[in-house]
Amino acid sequence: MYIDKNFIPKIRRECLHRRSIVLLILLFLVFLFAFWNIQILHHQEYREQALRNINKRVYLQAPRGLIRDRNGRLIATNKLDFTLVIRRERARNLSRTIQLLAPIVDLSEKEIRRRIRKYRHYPASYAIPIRKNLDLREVIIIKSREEEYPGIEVTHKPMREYPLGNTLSQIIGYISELSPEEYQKRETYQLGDMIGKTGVEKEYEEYFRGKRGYQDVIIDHLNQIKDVVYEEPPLLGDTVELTIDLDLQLQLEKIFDGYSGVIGVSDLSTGGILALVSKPDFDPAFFTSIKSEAEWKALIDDPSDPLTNRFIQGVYSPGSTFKIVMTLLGLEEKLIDQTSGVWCAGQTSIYNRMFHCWRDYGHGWVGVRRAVAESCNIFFYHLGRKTDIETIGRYARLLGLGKATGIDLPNEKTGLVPSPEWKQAALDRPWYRGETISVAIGQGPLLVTPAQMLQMISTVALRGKSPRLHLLKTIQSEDGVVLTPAPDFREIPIKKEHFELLIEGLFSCVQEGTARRAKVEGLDICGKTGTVQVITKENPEYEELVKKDPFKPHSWFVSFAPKKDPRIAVVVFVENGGDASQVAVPLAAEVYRRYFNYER
Amino acid sequence: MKDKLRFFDKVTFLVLVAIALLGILLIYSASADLESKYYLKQLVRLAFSILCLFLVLMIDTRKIMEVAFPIYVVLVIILALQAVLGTVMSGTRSWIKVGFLFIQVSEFIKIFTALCLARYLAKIKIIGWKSLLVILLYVGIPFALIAQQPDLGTAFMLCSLVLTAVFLKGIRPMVVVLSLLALVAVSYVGVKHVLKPYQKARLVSFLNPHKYEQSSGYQVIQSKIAIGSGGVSGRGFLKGSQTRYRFLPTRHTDFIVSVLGEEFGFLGVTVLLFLFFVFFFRQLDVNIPVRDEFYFTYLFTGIILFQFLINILMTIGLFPVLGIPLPFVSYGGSSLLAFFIGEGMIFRIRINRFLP
Repeated sequence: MYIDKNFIPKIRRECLHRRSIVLLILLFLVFLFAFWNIQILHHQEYREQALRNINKRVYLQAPRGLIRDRNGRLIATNKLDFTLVIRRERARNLSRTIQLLAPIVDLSEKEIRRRIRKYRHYPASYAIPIRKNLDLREVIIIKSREEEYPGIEVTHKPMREYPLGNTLSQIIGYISELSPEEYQKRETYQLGDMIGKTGVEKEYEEYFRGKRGYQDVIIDHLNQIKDVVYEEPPLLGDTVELTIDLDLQLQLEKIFDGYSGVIGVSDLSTGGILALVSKPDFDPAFFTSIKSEAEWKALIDDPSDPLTNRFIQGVYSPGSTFKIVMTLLGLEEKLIDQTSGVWCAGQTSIYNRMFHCWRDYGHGWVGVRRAVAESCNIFFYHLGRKTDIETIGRYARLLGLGKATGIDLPNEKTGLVPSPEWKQAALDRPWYRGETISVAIGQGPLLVTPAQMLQMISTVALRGKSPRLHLLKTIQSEDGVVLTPAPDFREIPIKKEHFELLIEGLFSCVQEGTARRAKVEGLDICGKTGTVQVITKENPEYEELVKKDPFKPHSWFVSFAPKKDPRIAVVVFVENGGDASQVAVPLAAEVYRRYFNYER
Repeated sequence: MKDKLRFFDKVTFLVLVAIALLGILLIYSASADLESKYYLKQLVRLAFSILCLFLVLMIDTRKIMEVAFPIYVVLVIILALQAVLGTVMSGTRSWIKVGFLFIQVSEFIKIFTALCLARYLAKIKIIGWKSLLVILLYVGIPFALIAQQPDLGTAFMLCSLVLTAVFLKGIRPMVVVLSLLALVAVSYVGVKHVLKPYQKARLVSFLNPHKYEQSSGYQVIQSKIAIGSGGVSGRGFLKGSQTRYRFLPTRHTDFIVSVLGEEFGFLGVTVLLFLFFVFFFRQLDVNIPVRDEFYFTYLFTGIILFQFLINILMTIGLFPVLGIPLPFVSYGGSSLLAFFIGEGMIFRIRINRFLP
């Protein structure tokens, strides 16, 4: 048709056209197959991946069970806590993000880095807490920049709150994030969960914990929740009601302010602890926030050792309070009786060694009652000579020394009741008779905890019925009572009349003996003092040093009241407090005044 | 005017509009959660592009052929100026501002490069050394200018012109062998020294997407999940979770086919493929006797076909993610307008033989 150099011959065009169409058809067949392959043959696996993209389960932490006192007053509760977290896997530019965050949350960049580094062995998706307890202003600032700096997030969950601050901290203990080792051991916990580390928080962890809930949510590509598909709400943990009387507790904390040591009060009808002050103490909220290294170091290196609960973990020499054990031993073993007596001249020679009474000019003629009341050493030296260390050990253990009292608090110490076997093993030396004489007045390698002393004096008050000390009154869930421990008393195989005689001595101790300053009008208080020298009187500088703080003697007073039908027993222990009659005894009197006064 | 509309290929035109409207539907779904009304903007652009198509249809093809080279030169100069003076917007310098509009010159230079090549091909017999050099110059100058913007995807599309030219004219075997060797050498140097790190990352992640799940490979993986989860009939309009919860990247531009695959399934994809098939089938017309007109039709259709091919291969993970939109479907004004202007010329070329 066209024979011109401007035109292409039809045959050439048809050839190019045919090739193009063949290529086109091939291309479309290939595409159809490719989509067939993805959309139909592999549909199922891609569908699952798409679901995995959007479906997520978010766990909701259960609010921890409450702690209340015996009258239902709140000791520990929960609040809503806003925490700033960083997820490393989502953070595009971690350094920039840290730079941005530092001024907002008032932390140095170095400190934020340190907090992130602490979690370097955790999965990259883990939400690393950077700061807890954000206030509302901080939450708003961070929320407004979440998109800009992926990886940062503000999470909120219930957090333990201790409205009373330091009060009762030694009993409550504290909670903090569970360690990787604890996580390995406990199946139902997640990394980052809070767990009771000490005190009641640890003891009743399984009840406090409640039940974690969860939400099945739809998320978008930025991990933002778009929709909640299903929710299983968390269940509040059980409420633990303690035997503590908060009114009394708060008054005793005030009385004991500035001292270091313990006041413990037991309810003799049950063995429950009514009040327990152990100083120094700490702020349990310290452990629910994130602290810098310096703050940790300061707490751990604190020479006053505020994390130790001296009631169950402080071990001290019992001093003269041990004469209670010796008196019962003497009577029960028939080594002494109501009529026996000793002449105290201030000192005596036993096994060719001089032993001294605390009163240089002596007590004169002393019987059992006066020996207890005046705490006469000479009387008990002679008693010690009539017995042996094995028997002393047996009676000490009978009254609860040398073993845990079994109070419902973790990490209780057992103290030490010496025996020849113990000395051989520990010091590789035999037991000497002279040492038995020292032990008889509560010296030598005897170590007791204030808890053991409270249990011992409670046993004496109840004339041989030894109560198991405890802090738990009941555990309640929303459905009712879960657990109420029954009072637990153990009979001590010592005759009642021997207790009565001892109690006469304890009574005169307050009436006219070393504990005269414990006298409270209208109340028959019985008790025994103990002053424990921390340096020996043989020290040439004794007179000077003993007035200075770290060398002042420890001060004990164990007591109960009333004499007939006793209601409460009290242990007062003041570390380096000075002479018991001057320090521990008046403090105890204050305890009785508060307890019996406000009851009226 | 009447004649022109009488012989005008209405079927191809309607298919084209149908493809573009399907695109707007997908843009609507892809941006349903965003505040700006992308689909409305695209609808306005489509209307304007159709208008331009008819305006171009009215112009004598010969006249366009005559001004093709000067316009090509002007556009190259603009690109060169852009390279020196252009401000960076969304990471590239591809945009110039005309009034309140942002225009991508690179989209328009495709038309005029194709025109110039068509005229040149009309003058030669078979591609030898000299003609290959000329073709490479025509393509290479805009290619280099666009590639440095950097907009590798658009630049890459220009290369399709060389392949189509070879397809149309044939080439001496020696030239093929030697130029392929040269290509290997150039691309080796290119990958080593010229490519930007993110471009290299895309190449590497293409070879092993799962290793780069959190970065470059992420896009392809999410795109395949979207398409695959669509199944036979799709998850329903606006119901695709990959699209709705934004796991799919650049879903209204490069990965728009993934939206289609997820929400309308294999059936939806087949419809789109079929529409494109009809379009290409009708447009590759055998009855265009004039040399340069025939070559232009095939060269320009070749660009569309390549872009279509690469975009789809990209969304199903068979080609590196280069940022190439799907012709007529993806969101974008310059691309749509440029294709419709080119189509205007082709529609005119196909009725020239009926005109006096």
